[in-house]
Amino acid sequence: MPTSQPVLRYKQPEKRYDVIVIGAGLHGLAAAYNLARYHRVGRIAVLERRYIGFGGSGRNTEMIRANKRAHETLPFYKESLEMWDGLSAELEWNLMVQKKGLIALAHSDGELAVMRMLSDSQRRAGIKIDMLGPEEVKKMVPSLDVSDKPALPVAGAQFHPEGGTVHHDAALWGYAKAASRCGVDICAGVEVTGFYVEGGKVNGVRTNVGNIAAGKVHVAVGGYSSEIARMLGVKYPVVTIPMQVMTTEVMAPFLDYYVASPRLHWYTQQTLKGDLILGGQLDPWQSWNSSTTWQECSERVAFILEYFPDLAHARVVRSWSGLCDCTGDSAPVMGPSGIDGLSLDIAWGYYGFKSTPACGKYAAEYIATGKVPEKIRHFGLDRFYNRQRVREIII
Amino acid sequence: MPFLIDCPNCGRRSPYEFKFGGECKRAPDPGADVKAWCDYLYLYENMSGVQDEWWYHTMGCRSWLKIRRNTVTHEIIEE
Amino acid sequence: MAGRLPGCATQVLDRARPVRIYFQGRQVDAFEGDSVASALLASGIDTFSRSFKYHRRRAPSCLSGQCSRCTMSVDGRMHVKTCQTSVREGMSVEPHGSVEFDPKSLADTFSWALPTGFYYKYFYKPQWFWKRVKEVFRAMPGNMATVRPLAGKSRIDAVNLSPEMLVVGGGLAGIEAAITAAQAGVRVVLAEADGWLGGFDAFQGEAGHRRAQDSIRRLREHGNVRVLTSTWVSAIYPDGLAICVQSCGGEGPEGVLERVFHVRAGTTVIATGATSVPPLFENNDRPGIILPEAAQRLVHLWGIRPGTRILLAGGDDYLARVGLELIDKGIGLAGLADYRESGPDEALRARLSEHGVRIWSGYKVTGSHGRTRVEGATLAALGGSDVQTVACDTIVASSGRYPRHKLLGQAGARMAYDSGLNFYLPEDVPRAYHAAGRLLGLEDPEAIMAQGRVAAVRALEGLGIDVGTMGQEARQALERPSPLRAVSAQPLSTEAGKKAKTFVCYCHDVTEKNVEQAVEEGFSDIETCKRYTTATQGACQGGMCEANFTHVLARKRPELGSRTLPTTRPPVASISLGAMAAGHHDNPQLSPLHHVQLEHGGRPMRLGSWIRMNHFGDELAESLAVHQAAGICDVSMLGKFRVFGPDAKKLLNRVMTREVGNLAGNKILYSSSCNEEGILLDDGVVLKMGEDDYFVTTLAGRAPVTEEWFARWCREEDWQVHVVNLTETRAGMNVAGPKSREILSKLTDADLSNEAFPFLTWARVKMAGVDVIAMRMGFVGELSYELLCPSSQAGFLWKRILEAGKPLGLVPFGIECLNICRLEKGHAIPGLDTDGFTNLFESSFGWMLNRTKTETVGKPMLELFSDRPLKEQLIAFSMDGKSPVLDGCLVVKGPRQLGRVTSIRYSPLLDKTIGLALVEPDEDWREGGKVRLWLGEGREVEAAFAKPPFYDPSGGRMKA
Ligand SMILES: Cc1cc2nc3c(=O)[nH]c(=O)nc-3n(C[C@H](O)[C@H](O)[C@H](O)COP(=O)(O)OP(=O)(O)OC[C@H]3O[C@@H](n4cnc5c(N)ncnc54)[C@H](O)[C@@H]3O)c2cc1C
Ligand code: FES
Ligand SMILES: [Zn+2]
Repeated sequence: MPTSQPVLRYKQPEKRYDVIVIGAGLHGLAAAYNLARYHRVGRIAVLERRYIGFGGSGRNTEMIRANKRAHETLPFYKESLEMWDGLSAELEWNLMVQKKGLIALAHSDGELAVMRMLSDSQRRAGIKIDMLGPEEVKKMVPSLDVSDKPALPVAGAQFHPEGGTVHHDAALWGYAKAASRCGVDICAGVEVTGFYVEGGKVNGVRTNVGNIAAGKVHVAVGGYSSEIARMLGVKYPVVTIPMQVMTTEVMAPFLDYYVASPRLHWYTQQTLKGDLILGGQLDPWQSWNSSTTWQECSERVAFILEYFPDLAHARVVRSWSGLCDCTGDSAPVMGPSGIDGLSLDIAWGYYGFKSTPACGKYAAEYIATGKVPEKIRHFGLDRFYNRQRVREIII
Repeated sequence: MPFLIDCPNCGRRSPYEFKFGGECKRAPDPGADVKAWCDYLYLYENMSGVQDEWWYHTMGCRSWLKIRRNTVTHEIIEE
Repeated sequence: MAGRLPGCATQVLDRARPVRIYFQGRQVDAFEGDSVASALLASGIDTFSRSFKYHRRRAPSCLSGQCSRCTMSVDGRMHVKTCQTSVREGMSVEPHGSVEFDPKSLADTFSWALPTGFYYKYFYKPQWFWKRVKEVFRAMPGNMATVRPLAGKSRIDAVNLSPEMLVVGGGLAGIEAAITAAQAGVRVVLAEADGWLGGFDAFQGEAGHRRAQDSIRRLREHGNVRVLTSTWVSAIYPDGLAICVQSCGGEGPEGVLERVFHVRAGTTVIATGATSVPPLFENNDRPGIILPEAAQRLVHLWGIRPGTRILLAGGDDYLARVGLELIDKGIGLAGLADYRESGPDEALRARLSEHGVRIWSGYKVTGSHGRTRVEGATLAALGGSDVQTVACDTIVASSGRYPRHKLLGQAGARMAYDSGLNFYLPEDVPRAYHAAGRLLGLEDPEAIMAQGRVAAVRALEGLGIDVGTMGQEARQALERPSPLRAVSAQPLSTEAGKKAKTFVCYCHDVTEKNVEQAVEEGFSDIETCKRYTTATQGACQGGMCEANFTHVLARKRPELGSRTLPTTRPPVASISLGAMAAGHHDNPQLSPLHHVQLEHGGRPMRLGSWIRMNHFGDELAESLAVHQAAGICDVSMLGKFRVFGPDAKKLLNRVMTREVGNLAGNKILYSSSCNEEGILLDDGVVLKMGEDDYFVTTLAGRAPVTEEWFARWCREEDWQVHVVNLTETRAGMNVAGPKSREILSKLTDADLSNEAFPFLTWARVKMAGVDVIAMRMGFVGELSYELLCPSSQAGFLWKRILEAGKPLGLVPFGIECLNICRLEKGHAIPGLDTDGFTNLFESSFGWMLNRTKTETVGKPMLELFSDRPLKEQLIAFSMDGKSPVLDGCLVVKGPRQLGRVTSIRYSPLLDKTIGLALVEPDEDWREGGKVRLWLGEGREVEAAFAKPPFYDPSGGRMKA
């Protein structure tokens, strides 16, 4: 029986580091861990203004998948999905990886056409994908109404067997624990308020507890990226939009898969604990406020209930919301910032959880070598200036 | 967090009646360069605080309103 | 505990009306007025549920809907709080899972092996092992409801209310606030969770009952108060929306099960009261351990003895008073353990002693024991010495008081801990909200009522309502001091229980030790500790455990100084998915031709917000008919606008890629529009109806977007232009085919000849007596007339055209046929054959960009990139015969993925499969080039690149 060993070890920041990572979300922690473990870059600190997992990393709906649209980025997402498998063992912490399978519903022939296209593109990238008819979906999800009762009946679905979930808190604490053990200083309550930039090169950061020098600074602040931009006097191609989700009381296992309707913007899964997670839609406006609204929650529930009518008496116990920094092409910004020594891993919107392992790996590689790794080449800021935006959006 | 918008035509209404039209931006001259146009099209101040923004009253008078809103507190600021 | 006390005025039972309910199939006798929980308790049922992690027996502890330990399945509905549900004849009640015998309760015995976060610390390798273990995990939790097919849909209604004032809580404070507002003449809604009014006083014996009745009687004098009992206010949103869910008990189609009130009040008084904090001692979760309020409810409301030998425990005189009430009802006491060295108040102590009740001052309960319910307790002096065992069958215990603050928190207030009082008091209450009553720590009924009046006065003043002398009087009454009384917190042992469990969070079985261990492991701030231990995250959402959780945390981490509460998130009381969804409906748009098309065999399908006809039985036959004779198709969903005024041209020249200014006479201008990136958005036609007066059409279903788009492009201009959306006023039908002229000529005197009415012109004609705008267009490649007529006459006209055309072979056709025909012509549809990245040049619409005008939206970007290579292009291809290739098929070239098929159909006329694809530029896109379509690993088919149109390349047929 393990005794109580510290899992989270917060430190007071020192005056100087070789690398500063801003933000103790998953992306910041993963980058710091990978740097410390696989690269020789000297002393590393993660500066976090609240606590580990305050941002999207502690609020997301835990979906992991690789069935994205833009074929040029599929290898990245595929690798990230595969990396989760070995991560529990590597971090010596059970991340509760469940590759339970993701079912994405289509409600019309038109949607099926898009889905077929995505499926083929994903198969060509080596991702396992099946197309299902309504009856097959019904067999896998008996509680789903595939009849013509819903206004938009289920016309078919895409099945992504390797998609699933990872416990987000477990991932946070696993990375934090492993990073600390590799010598990373994780400093909570430290807010970056400005930068020292000289001759186009970053020298350090200003914080609420004093200045900290560093030749390399990595920005992984999730939904807050535009605040960093303002400190630097620039703008980023993002708008911050909250996303709301809900959870219910526990029920005996009845839903084995993650079920989603991309068209109607809802998804639901049953966690190991037995509660349902319900969500799937960004708020309709920009906001930096993470409280929830009745209109959004009730509309989401109305959609989901239409397809799971037997859940009419299941009960929602909690709703919450988190900030997502979203680009117009639904792809992130990773790599150079235009300032020497300052690297970006931002704009992960509502899809950054699944990408954590690969982001950690490639962010660290970029920070250590200064060369943009091939797999994240498409995520650069330059894409907005040469019509190279990532074709992630489905219309 | 929910808030209400004072539409000069329709009165105080739920923002769910509106379409959010984004922060107010100034388009460059038609002849400006790629940088200027792409900055305008793709970059956002994305203010955490008070900003001027556009809202379209879809379920009301169907007009575009310029609203000054604090995006953190959702307070609407009268001009 | 079986058997009831004699009836008395305070009870809510109607003993003249027995009700039978069935618990696990066994009959349980109850009375009208019983809750399911009270009926079960009265019949001696001890165990209601098994706990989440350790499968321990659990039973009601609050009887007020807060602890969630009484939930069962009632009439097939899961997660029903039985203490909040009235009995109904024949009701069937089932626990979630087996409660009497539960083999999983072994988990309790082996819990030493399950330290905090054990699931993170074990099983991290190997992967296969975790895969097995997780299935065990899934099946483990207790009190899991089973999802079963429901017989039918319960009726849940949604109601909107907008009173001036909402009062939450029907206790003395709430009632007083409501009366005050009613006197000021405003409309009030008063929501109360219990099935009756009176709040705390409803179960404070005879005196309380009298007080409550008096208030209720005064309330009833006012017609402008709508009282909602059995109504939980589930959430308050800071914009003033309160969600109030009333349980109405009805089942089936006629009975209403729940009613959801969406209340938007001008101002809100929150008077939700306070509740006892559960005690902390080993095995503090056993059935038979209840809060003092629950004991009082049992005795005074339902005439049930909580037990026969009751131990009272806590540090508050309230317990002594409850003890005296129990004695009064002839219920035996095992004694009173008071953790204050001074013990209870002198007078109370004297009266208890009179009845021979043993009092241990400076003692606290350290544990309970018993098999299925409490059989005894251990007590110890505060230092830990003098351990004693007391036999008892019930422990009525509390360790302080806690405001029911969550709604206030949701409204935006902050709760600050007052260490002197050991109570949380609200700070920064937002303007439109006012707190009152026991929620603020008040106890004296007079003070509570006075304060309720003051809260209402302040609320009314906030609304700008004149309250006359009422304000003065209310404030004066409050001036009589009523100091808050401190309630001491239960002293915690220096060391958390070694072996047995002291529960902090009951819903998730989180013990004091778990919390301490979490802090030691570094999870020391409230949010991470909460997540790591899962405390406060269960069904009660902290209602029963927040106080103890923060208490334990504060002891472990005194350096944190002030105590904070975890963030309050809606809902405060769990809410059914059915109640949340109530009031949402799908509202598809129907064409004015919808019904007449159904009559003619149309097969409807949903496309966006519209319902359209996919086909009328056989789309291939329909397409042949269009080419050989004629067809008629509903196009009412095209957006239709009148754009007029001196500046109409300015607006249109902005949003259209072509020049509108040159449009003359009866010509039709076919144009497109782009966004600022130059991405193709829309196509449609522009007609000039008069000077500065234009008629514009847009893609099917796009009208609302277009309306907004037009408005967007003049929002900063002081232009004289007005846009009217005519979409729903005009129906549209496309009559196409070589016989269409002949058919339509039968219905009109107008000259439809090619000379009088050539291609790409329009005319106003009377057709079958209906005023029609007819346009000659060529979307399907044949002679065709697009007719726009008043929606009211569309059905009539459709029928007349069909009648006239039938002898000539006219058939109705749907969008499938439309697709076949437009592909034969190679026509692309924006948004379908292009996507959000395709600019005007990359689509097949590039020719429509007027290069001389500068104001066109999107033109600067198109010009800036015009000398760079295209990113993609829209190509056409064909294959002989029928091909299995479907929309969405990938276009490949070896390992390269060049793009995708956007539309592909078999044309029976050409006996070819023809399609469009959106692809990267490639050298193969030339005469004789091959288009490779990917059908799966190692399977490709080849199609021939083609330059459309496939049919009638000269356009002779449509121009004929
Ligand atoms: C409701 C919701 C559901 C989601 N569901 C999914 C999903 O199912 N699958 C998926 O893949 N993704 C999902 N996401 C997205 C995912 O959560 C995020 O993309 C991801 O967590 C981003 O991680 P991060 O480490 O980059 O940022 P965060 O986790 O947001 O961490 C950023 C940290 O930076 C800190 N910070 C900010 N500014 C400063 C400063 N100036 N100084 C110091 N520290 C600072 C913040 O306090 C925060 O802790 C969801 C997001 C939300 C909100
Ligand atoms: S006894 Fe029903 S919720 Fe507490
Ligand atoms: Zn309006």
